[in-house]
Amino acid sequence: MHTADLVKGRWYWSRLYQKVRVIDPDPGPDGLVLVMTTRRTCTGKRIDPETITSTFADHDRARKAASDRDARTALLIERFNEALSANGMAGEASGHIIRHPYRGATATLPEETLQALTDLLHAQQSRRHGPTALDDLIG
Amino acid sequence: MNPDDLVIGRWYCDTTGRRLQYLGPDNSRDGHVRVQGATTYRSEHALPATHLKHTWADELRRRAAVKAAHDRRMSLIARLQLAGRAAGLPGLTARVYHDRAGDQHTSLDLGDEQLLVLTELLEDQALRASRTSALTELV
Repeated sequence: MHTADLVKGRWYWSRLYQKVRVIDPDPGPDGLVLVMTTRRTCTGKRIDPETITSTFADHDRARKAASDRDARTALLIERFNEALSANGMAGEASGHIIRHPYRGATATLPEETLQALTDLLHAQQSRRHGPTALDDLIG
Repeated sequence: MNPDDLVIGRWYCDTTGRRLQYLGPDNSRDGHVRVQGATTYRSEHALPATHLKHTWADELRRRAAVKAAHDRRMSLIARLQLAGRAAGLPGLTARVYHDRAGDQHTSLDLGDEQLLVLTELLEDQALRASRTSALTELV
């Protein structure tokens, strides 16, 4: 963050030192600002303001939002596994949440399940082109 | 392998995947056999008979089966991706990997939205199956 944006006494998030409180936002000749860290051994420290990325409140909000998204992914994984099982398909999405390149999960699936999912997607596409008589009947 | 099952002059595969020709028992060491390699380890040397896994012909058959299974899985993945794209679920990524035991697995990376769409399709499919079954009983 730019030193002009730092406010004395406010808590910030530093990439390097995590939670820090700015004691003096005016940088010294070395460009470093004086902060207080939460470590007992390190109450006063001069750090590079570039390592400060946001206020601690903003960081906490982002962390909670990420946690909520993780909870959603965990629910989606659980529901996916239940749906596979309800169709008698083997395999499962792992409980491990992946975040890169996007949020989601990795599913380990046997050949029969891959084939069944392919058939399901084909059927979905066919339905898009018009419902069959049976589809109409069973709603 | 059991030394009694080895045939002099026949090619075998050892536990590290090397192609070795069996030259006869090693009379100086119990349970050891004399072998020579095809390209590397050309000179005659001895190793425990248990290090020879099976004949080289069996190894070639095993490798062909592994490759065929890999190709089959890759083809299934390609078909799944095509079906996904056609059904409005682009960007499905999958890969074939081998675990430490040498078994092949297919894993599918699913983002949150892909998880949701596939889950809803599977749930819909399970519902249709149960309705069809109920209808059949009625008829």
